[in-house]
Amino acid sequence: MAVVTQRRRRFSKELQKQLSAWLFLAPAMIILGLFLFYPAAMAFWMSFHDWKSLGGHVWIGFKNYYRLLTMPYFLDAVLHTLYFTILNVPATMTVSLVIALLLDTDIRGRNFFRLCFYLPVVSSGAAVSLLWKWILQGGELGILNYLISLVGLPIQDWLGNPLLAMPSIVLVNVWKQMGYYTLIFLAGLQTISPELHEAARVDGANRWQLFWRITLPLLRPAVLLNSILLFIASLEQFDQVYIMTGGGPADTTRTVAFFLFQSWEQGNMGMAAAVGYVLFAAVLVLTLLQKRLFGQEIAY
Amino acid sequence: MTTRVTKRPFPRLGDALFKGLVYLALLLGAASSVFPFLWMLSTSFKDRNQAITLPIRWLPDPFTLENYRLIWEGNDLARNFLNSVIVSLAVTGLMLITCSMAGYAFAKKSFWGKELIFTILIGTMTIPGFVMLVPLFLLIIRLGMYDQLIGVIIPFSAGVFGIFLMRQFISTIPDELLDAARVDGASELRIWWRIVVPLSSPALATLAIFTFQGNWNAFLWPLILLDSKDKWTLMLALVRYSREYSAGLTDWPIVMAGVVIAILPLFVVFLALQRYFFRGITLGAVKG
Repeated sequence: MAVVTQRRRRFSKELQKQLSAWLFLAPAMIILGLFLFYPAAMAFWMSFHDWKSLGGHVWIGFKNYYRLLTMPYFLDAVLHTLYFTILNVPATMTVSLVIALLLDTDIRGRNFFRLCFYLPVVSSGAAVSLLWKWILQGGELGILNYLISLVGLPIQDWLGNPLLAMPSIVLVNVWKQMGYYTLIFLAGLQTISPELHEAARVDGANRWQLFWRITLPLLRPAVLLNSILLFIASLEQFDQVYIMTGGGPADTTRTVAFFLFQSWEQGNMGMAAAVGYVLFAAVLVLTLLQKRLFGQEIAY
Repeated sequence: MTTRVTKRPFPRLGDALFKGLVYLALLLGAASSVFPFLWMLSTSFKDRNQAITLPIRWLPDPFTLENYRLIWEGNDLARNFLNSVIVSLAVTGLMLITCSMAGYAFAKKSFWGKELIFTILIGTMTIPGFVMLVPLFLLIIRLGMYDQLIGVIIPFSAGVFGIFLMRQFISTIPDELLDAARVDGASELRIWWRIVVPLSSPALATLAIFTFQGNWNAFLWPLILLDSKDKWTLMLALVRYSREYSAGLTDWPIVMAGVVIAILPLFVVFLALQRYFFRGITLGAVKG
């Protein structure tokens, strides 16, 4: 008898423990379940349907994906996204790394500089896009044109010229985000023990060798994290394109994310869902590839 | 930091030159970060003619506040501003509650499937928000939240990053503290509210700032979920109105006044609470 009641008591105590844990989990889990897990699963389901915003939907198997991969309009968007990524990732990495290295020397006013570089990061992407639309304006009224004409360079229609529009968006993106990646590099640099540099210097290494032989290899976790974050951010780039060029001129800045948005706008829900999963697949492949490439696990 | 630069027996000219170059590069970089904002500020105080007069004038002359009056009163921007404040504060408040509760459960409680659920949650962080765009839009319509502020509040009031952040921080609170309260007969909810929440305030502050910033700046979801003018958030209103001012020649001084209104509140928050911003980045970033 005593054993049974004891066991029963232990069981009810365990149940109580479970209940109290779930009480704390419930608010977050209900929201995530409804607005994260359900839509993510639903998008997968929808991507196999011809799903219009008005009217019903029909199961069509892989046809959305097939249509996408044979549609020049979509393949162009893929190319534009790749072009953006190929410009954006190395540019941001290089600029942020250089700034981080400069900030990591014994300079005065490090906090002031850090603050300056971080201002664009806290600003809204939408507001900043409007601001840069004004700065990049073609003709003599654009302030960038004014500045480059001071150095004797020819003025440009930055957002109106099909060759320059995408690089201009990349420029704005680098300007806006470099402060963020700089801070991650800086945090990485500060984990490198100064003694290593000391020792190498005593052995006669110059700054160049110090950087390539010691700093950069030890910075690997930060490089990996930054490149993963940057690749994902590049694939999802939307605000700047929507506001500064609207996909133009001549469709040269229409990215995959923008294509998805347009599919939604046209009420082509199944297609938009399929594009979402193509993006997701790209993000997954890139993330895994980079982890493999760097041969290192990272906690973030 | 100062230990990093070696004390050389003979200071060389090269080092001084190097340092000078470092300062020069940093100053140029900082200037390029700040200059667009100064140009925005300057333009917002110019009248329309000055903005399209050559040669370019750096400072407004005459100085006018007319643009601010026009964009604020001409469009009922106060309404949109208030919407942004409501949305950002509501999401932030809810986020703190949901994430600190869930973070507490993951850090201090044992329950069935804990590891599995946590792994799945972390896994979802790689899903791009765009994947959810269409189903979430349809769901919001079905829930009757379309074109309502609540439609841009509720879906974003819990997040995996926040849960992760809170779990990491709450794990560092000693168990003895919680057990002592239990012995005194405190209920679980009371322990959470009176012990866990106050002790995790640094992490909560970081989460609050990031959530507020993200929602103040949000553009895509309001664009998709809010339709009528009086429901638009500030960013959405700004982009939409700037198109109206773009008929023919864009009236840039007015648009810039709007951009100042959109950016300035967050600058103030940022300047006041910088250390939480900077700490948050390294908290969420390089740990390995």
